[in-house]
Amino acid sequence: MTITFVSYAILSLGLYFWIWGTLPILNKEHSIFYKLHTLTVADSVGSLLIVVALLLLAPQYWPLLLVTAISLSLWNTIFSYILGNISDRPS
Amino acid sequence: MINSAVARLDSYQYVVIYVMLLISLVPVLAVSRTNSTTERIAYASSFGNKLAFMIIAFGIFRGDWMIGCIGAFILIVGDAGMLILSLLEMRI
Amino acid sequence: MANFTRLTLVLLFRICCWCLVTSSIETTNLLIGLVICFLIPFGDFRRLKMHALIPEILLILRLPYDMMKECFELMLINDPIDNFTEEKVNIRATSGSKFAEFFDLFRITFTPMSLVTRRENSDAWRVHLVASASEVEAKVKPKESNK
Repeated sequence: MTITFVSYAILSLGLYFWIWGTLPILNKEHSIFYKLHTLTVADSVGSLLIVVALLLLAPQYWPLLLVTAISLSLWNTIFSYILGNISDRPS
Repeated sequence: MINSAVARLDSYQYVVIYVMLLISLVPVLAVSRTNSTTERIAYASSFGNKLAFMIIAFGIFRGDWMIGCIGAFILIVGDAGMLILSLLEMRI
Repeated sequence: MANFTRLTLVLLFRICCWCLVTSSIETTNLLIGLVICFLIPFGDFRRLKMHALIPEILLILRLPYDMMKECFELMLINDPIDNFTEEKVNIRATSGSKFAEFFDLFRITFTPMSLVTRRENSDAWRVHLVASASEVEAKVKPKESNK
């Protein structure tokens, strides 16, 4: 019962990070770098928190969730590096 | 054997799924509001990520391994495709 | 002997990946995995620098704390402006280990506050940070009044 409560608390924190990180991309005043930072908050940190919450909720699915977490962090990091490289090109 | 009619979601699990769906609609709106290709790739990848996580969460809530596998598959393949697209953008 | 250890490490890594993806450790599955691990080309595993492995993997362990801390730091900034700085490349990465170089980039970019944009020269990354506009003005103004 306690584990269920803790996992739903982590899940709602992850959902809050999703909302906070996704809403600034609608604002046209921010630069693309700030948007990349907020998308990192949403897509890496929020999604990793959701994975942790799901792991507490259903521990028997740990291989699936571990593969998801590893691939998510690797892809997102390389992706934001490449997008930063494109935007910061000396022209 | 799991009878599919038995595995029902609780109401707060439906709330989580619908909140995820509503958040994932924000990047679609953002794609339509910008002209820069780089930003569009970033938003599209964010959309794919969020939908894949919605599917994984649904599979875990429902206790179904296969739906979760599909979600992980969408996450990995979709992000790989977006990565190749951004590499192409870097070369141009 | 050192080359044998390197080969064993690479094979162990591949077997771990195989078992994780297939999520079973039955004997038949392990045999199929071993065959596939030998079929994948090995590349230049002789250049793997083993003394760089353990410190890099230990440094990964403090990432979750940094990640959460920098998240809340980023949330407290209301008026963001761009701020480019240079950050030193890790000493193990400058000595020629590709692995250490990748993990250095990974550690900097993974945290929400900092983002590597490119390699400035052989021993510095160009890093983008978010700064608060009002704090930057507060730092600049006292200097101007001193003049």
